[in-house]
Order: sequence, then C-alpha cells, then structure tokens
Amino acid sequence: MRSLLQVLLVTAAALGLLAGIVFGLGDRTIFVSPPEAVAEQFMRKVETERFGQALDHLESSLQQQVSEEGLRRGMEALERRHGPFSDVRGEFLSIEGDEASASAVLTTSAGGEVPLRFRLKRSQGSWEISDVTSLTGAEGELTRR
Amino acid sequence: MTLAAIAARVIFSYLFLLLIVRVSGKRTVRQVTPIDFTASIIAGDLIDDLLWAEVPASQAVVAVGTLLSLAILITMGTQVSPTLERWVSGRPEVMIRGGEWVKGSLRRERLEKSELLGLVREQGIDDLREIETATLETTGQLGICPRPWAREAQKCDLVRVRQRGEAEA
Repeated sequence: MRSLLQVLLVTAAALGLLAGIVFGLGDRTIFVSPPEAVAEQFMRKVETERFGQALDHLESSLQQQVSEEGLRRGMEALERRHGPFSDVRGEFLSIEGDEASASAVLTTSAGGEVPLRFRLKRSQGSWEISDVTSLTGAEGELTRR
Repeated sequence: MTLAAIAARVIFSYLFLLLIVRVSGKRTVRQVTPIDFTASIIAGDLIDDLLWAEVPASQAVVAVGTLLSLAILITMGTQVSPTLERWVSGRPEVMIRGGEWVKGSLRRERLEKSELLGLVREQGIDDLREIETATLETTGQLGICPRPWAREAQKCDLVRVRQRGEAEA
C-alpha cells in the first residue's frame, strides 16, 4: 500500500512540475506536443482512416464544423490527385504567441511530396489545429455537419 | 523539434521513470516477474511516445503512473489470492527429478533441452545424476537441489570424517 501511495505521489509531483513548466513558464514546444508533431499526428490518423481520433486534434469549435466524412473525402481527393501516400512527417513553420503554423508533408508512393499547411492555436497549454482547409479544401469545400 | 527539447525530454523521462520504478517497491530488478515484464514493455512504449513528443508529457506521466499503480495492485492481489498468483505468475515447474527429465516439462515450458542444460551448467553441474530436483521458478531462474552425495562438503562433514578416523584409530 505504501508503494502505491508513493507511485501516486510521484505521478502527482511530476504533473505539478509539468503544469508549472507549461502554464507558469509558458513552455510551448518541450513538454507539450509541438505544432509540427500535432500536424503530423493529425495527418497520420487521417491517412490511416482513424478519423474520429484525428478530430481530437482539432480546436473544439472546429470539431463542430468538420465531420469524419469531410476528412475522408478530403483525403480521397488528395489521393486521387497525387496517388497513394506512404509516409507523413511534420515540419515546423512558426509560432507567434498562442498561434502557430506547421505543415504535414505527405510522401507519395512515387517519391513526391505534398505539403499541407495547418494553423494551430494554443488551448489549455496544448496546440490544437484551428484550420484544416488545406485538407478538406482538396475536396472542394469544407464539409459541414 | 530542437535538440535542446529532445535532451530536456530525455532528462525528464529518465528521472521520472527512475524515481517511479524505485518507489514502486522493488529493491532489485534482477528477478523479473510476468507483472514486471508486462509493465516494462508498455512503459517503454509510453516513454518512446513522450521522447518524440507524440503525446504531451502530462499524458505520458498519467499513463506510466496508472500502469505502475495497476502493477502494484495486481502484485498486492497475488499476495492475498493464491489463485490470482497462479494465474498471473504461473507456478514453478519441476524439470528434473532424481537425475531424470520430467516427462512433458520441456514441452510445457516451451524450452529446448539444450537451453535447460545450459542453465544447469551455469550452476556448475555437468552431470544430471547429481541433481535431486531442478525447478524452473516463475522468475525464469533454475533452482537446483543436489543429491546428498553431490552436495559440497560442509564443515560438519569434515568433523564427521575426523571423528570417524579418530574412532578407527
């Protein structure tokens, strides 16, 4: 029982330390996922058709506007245009205050690269994507619920 | 991702993992039980996600804390429930009895004969006839009870020999 309490204590202490670093010192890239990692994770989930999980990376207001079907259609449009994709990597573009931009670079099976630019906003210490038109725009227009 | 950020995450992950493993109650990690083995595999993957910033550090901390808490709870459960202990850790398996292989033991433990002979040799025994019982413990180590005639000489054995010699003289 003592070791269980100690594990919980260490966990709580580590969380407290992280909260201090993120909210107190304003860390934006070290102990929170940096913008390029969020963009990469988002596109990786879209590419592997985990659309529900991909939506978790979006700002809450955007989650109300974008549907899983919209993400699917955007991805299908990209694949029609460029062929199937084999990999994705995130690239840092900029951070200005609580706003950032990053791109997810999709690698096609033929070796080409398709960069998709995303804007992100910082919410409760973590980065969330606030604009997905680079993906959903590929299909024509944003699919709304 | 800057090099400084990677270094900071490595330092944080290492210190956090070291501290939480240390307070989780094990004095040594030499003997790994299935509970420890399972927890360490999952913890390794969680820390990997943290190092490459695939998840925020807070999520990784909560995940590792929950994982080790669960491991401790299951360990506590095995201390009060022999059934749970058998189910989680398995039971020791006698591999050699009276210098002979126990039928089916190698198959049950999915071991090759050469692997087990290697474990026997590691303990300084190269003749199976010296073994009373060899038991594969749940930690994966081999516990060997030698036959009385094969045991190392003790001080009392020398005393006995001397007494016998004196009596004969």
